[in-house]
Amino acid sequence: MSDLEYERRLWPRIKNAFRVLVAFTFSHVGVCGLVVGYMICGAFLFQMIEKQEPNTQLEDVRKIRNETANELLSIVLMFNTLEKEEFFKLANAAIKNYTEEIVNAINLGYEGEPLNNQTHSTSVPTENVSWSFSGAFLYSLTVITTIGYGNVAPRSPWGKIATILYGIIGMPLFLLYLSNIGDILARGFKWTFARCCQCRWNCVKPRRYLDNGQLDEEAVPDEEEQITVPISLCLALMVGYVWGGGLLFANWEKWTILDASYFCFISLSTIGFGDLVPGDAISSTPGREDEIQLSFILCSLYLLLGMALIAMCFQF
Amino acid sequence: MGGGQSHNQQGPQGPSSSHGPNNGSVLATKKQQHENANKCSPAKVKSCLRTFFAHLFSHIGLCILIVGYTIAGALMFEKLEKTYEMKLIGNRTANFKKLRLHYVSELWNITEQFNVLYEMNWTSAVEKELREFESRVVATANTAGYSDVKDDLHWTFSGALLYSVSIITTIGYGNTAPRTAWGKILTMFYAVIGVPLMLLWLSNIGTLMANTFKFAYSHACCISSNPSSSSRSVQTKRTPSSKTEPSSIQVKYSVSAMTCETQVVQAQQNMHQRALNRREQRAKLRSLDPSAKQVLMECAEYNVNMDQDERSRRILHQLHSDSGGNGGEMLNISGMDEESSDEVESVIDMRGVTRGGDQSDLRGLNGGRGGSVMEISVNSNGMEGTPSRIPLLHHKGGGVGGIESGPDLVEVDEYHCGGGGSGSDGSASPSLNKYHLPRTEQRVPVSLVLTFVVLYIMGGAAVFSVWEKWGFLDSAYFCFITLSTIGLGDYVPGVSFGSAGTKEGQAQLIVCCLYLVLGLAIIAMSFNLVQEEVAAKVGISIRQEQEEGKGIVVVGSGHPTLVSIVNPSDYANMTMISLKSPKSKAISLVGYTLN
Repeated sequence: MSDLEYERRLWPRIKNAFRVLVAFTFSHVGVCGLVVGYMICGAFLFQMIEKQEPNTQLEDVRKIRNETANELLSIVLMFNTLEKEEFFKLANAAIKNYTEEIVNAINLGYEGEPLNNQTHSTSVPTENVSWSFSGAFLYSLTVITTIGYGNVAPRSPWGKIATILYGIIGMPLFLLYLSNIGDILARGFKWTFARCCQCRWNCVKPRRYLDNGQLDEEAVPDEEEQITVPISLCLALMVGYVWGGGLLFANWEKWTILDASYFCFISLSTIGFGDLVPGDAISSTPGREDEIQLSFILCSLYLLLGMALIAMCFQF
Repeated sequence: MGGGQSHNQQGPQGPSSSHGPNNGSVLATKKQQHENANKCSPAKVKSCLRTFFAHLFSHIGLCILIVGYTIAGALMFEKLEKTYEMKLIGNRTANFKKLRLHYVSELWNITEQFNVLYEMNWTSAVEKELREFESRVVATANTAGYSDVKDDLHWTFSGALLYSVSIITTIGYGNTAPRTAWGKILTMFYAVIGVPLMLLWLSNIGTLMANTFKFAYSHACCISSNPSSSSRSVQTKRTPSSKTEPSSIQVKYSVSAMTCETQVVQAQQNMHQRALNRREQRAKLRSLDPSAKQVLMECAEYNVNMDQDERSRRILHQLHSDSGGNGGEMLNISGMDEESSDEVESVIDMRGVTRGGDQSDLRGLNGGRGGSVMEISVNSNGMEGTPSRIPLLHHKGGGVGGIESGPDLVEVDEYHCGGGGSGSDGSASPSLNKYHLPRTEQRVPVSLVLTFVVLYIMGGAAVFSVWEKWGFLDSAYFCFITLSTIGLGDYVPGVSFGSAGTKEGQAQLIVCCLYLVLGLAIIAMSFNLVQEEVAAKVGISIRQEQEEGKGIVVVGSGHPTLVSIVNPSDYANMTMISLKSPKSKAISLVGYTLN
């Protein structure tokens, strides 16, 4: 085939490739950006809805505490001379009641009042880290990936309705994102793998033969088709990712490695129990909200990347 | 095809000749196909039975497997976690007791301190103590590992059952979660095996239920002559009033791997196609894959040789004339264009997929596997009064036409080669056991499917709101969160207050398990049903954008075998479906492109 003809064929091919590339990038980038934007919108939405919820439980518990104190007072006042035994018995009973009430409240989600809140202000609900921006972002992420931890869950009816609608739209969107990202990553991976394979082991490019027996020189060997990444490599990649995440979270959250890997696995498989969630260990000590927010963001990124990797492995 | 003919289920065919495999004029393919057909045909009944039982066992077997797996998991986890939980509860009770004692003595001390009782001072001191006590209680509750403080066990059998179900469906409520190290490790392994298993079962049952639904729908609506969901008959649909509807001819290459089974996917044309320019149509014809043309030609030759089929002869005639004529244009519709009305146009739309672009591969696939089918099926325009079983060659658009006049257009109802004869239902061929997906008039509308799903959610919501004493919104929210496998876990039936340990609570847990498993099956079914609709509606436009033959997706199960070729519009859907079940190893996507 003459050089001229080859060139003539080459140019439209280049143009075509360029066009394909642009469309490709925009479509894929578009979807990724769309998903991230959707999550950010969701974060704002849920933050707005849920933060307005006054923490009524706090009020209830305070009331109970008042009542218990009054009861104790009445016990003390009852006796002119107070016997220790009597007091202990009665006070024990009162405190037991109090304990049960607290336990009820805990079962309904009460988380305790921070000890440093010395002022008995009843108006301002405590700043809840769970529904900060990053917390809401993580929540949106868990909804559209169907992980669904459950450590933060909407309490208001509007929050629940919003969750339903958000999920209905968000889940297919996320699946679209996964398929796109998986596609990109798979191609990149196969390309790299093919290059490595060729460079290191001098893999022979599979050639195509035309019907008359001649070598088909024109056909561009479509390496993506012929290279199959071994399953073991995919498995190793996934296991490595879970393990790596385990190490990371163990370090950050002060969990054991088993707990951290277990958390990574449960999250990436979208089971998402929620028994272990980043930010748990730190949240008990007040004043470290920034770290908690950072750990939420880190967790979100880890999950996004992890699910993309899993999608990629399923493209193989 | 002598043997094959004897199993021919249709009535009048062509001349029913008992032609054995022909001599040299038949290419190797045909011979192989014929032999394959022959191989299948003596055992046709047996193979049918075998497939039937395989299906039966695959469905039932999977169900049993899933149930067994869940129960086994429940027993296992219960054993592992129960003792630990009981220990925890014991500890917690002891801790509470200690705390109480401590604080009561604190209170005593405070009381003693105040010789004179000032209420204010005393009360504030007491309150401070109480608050400390409270936070200690909360801390104790949290460290015990459960977010709720109950004396009822989480890890009863039904609790463990719900736990197992929540793992393999990836819902993952979390109200019950493993605390022991072994429990966690075991959970991971249980999930790795259980999740793909569940997805397999779901896809299985989704297909089954979808077919049942379509069947019921078609019967209920009393539509059309032949309900076609049965897997053994292939129907051609006549749309009597569809003179206005354009027809499409699609060639599907189906190669089956193991069984003599192929799946045919049809996409319907829509109005959009009607607007297409004739030139565009012709351009499409020109862009036909030469290998596809080749295969069609061979098929026609084979059929002619086999059955002396009139239709095949006609097609062959056209093919030969075309190849000599307009430079490879397959079917010449030039003579027709100006006269034919708009409705009559037919677009011939052939996509051939060959491995590596090599025809021999397809032959190899034909010969090597158990049954190969190439099948050209056409939705033809309504030629009223034509019985659906007699193959036709129409001459469209006003010619004096009819079968004899060598029409320019080829429209056939079903054209089979490889032993199918020219039968329009094709069930004659031993190598052709086809699914014929119902056509548009039998497609279940999306709205109906969605309504069904919504009704299921509402029904569940009603039941749970009564049982659990939640509000209706809360129950609906719970149902949605569960069925979408998000599974937050803030609402879980059977573990609410006061009902956890009781018999009633346990029954509620089990009912919850059943509800969610059934609900997931329904969702799988609805995906199945909706997919075709969406593909038809959205897919056509996508097809216009993409170049012909680009990016055809082949879905194989197990090793990448060509199982069915679908139009590129299904790619997105299938990706979505396969990633809806991202852990499913049963589906792998392999993409081929035409050269």
